[in-house]
Amino acid sequence: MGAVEELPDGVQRHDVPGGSIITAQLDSVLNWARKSSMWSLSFGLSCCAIEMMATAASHYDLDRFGIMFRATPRQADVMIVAGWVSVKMAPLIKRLWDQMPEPKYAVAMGGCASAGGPYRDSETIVKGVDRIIPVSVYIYGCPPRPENLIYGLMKLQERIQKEPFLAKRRQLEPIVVQ
Amino acid sequence: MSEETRPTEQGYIPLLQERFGELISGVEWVDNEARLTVSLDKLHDFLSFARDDLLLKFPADLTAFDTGEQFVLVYRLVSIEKGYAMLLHCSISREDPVVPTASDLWPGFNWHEREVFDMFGIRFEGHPDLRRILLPDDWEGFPFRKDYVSVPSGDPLHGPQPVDEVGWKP
Repeated sequence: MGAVEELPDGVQRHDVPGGSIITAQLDSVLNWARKSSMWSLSFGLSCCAIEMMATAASHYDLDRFGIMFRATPRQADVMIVAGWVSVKMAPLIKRLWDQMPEPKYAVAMGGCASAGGPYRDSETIVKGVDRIIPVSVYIYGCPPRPENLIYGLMKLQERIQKEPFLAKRRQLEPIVVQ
Repeated sequence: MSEETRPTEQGYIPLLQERFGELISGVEWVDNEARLTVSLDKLHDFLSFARDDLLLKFPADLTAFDTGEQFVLVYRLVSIEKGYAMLLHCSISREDPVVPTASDLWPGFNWHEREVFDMFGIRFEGHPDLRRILLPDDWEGFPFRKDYVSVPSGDPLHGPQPVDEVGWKP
């Protein structure tokens, strides 16, 4: 690995004879590690999932942010809800969310997951996934472009970096990407 | 054009009339397919005749609609060997909608019949696994019936959801 150009907040570098050492706040280092490995739960609900797959594929390459898709909720930190949530699917999403270990974040990708989208007048569609699980990031679009999804995830990274990880975490206002 | 010079193409319709006579009605031959209505009494015999004798082996579609007074089942059968098809209607009473299954003749109709049951509540006697296919298992009522009214449950994990809360229109 090359030299770290930009050190996270709270990390200081001290030159000593024979090299250098860094001192840091534990929160800062842990958060830096967490935000650089936001493993995401691998599932998609509808057309937004196609855009999410495009974001994960080589052209946009989510791997460079450390975001990799895991096929089990036990190993996932982030749930990207990509698509509409039907009443039949809702209990399953809730169960997957409950199976994810803390700390965990939900991203409502696109109009359907945020508020029901064009299916608001359907009795079988849940009007936004935030009625089932707490959402950290809302991303606008139908479907959102990969850039939009990446921007939302980078905003989430910024928030994770500032989080008081070892202290009790506050319930923060959700991020809205427009 | 006089009666004599009109094209007399009738396909397999004479065969049907010979075998089922009064039980079928509204028969016409359009675009290489017969369109007709069959009585519920002999529906299963009719379907097995269509499959085995007319070689309508491909189950293209099975659906239904609600006229308000009765349900009408719609079968669409295709013969790939013969190059013709059939559009079959069968009326059922709304009070006691029970019909014989066609999934023993065409296993492909299994899920079609489950969907018709899901949406209209038409029961298929002899179906191996007649339960809801699209809606959640605990859904109440049959949404494609004309008299269906959805009452929001107030629970995002269960039952009908509220509709059009913010006045959004396409």
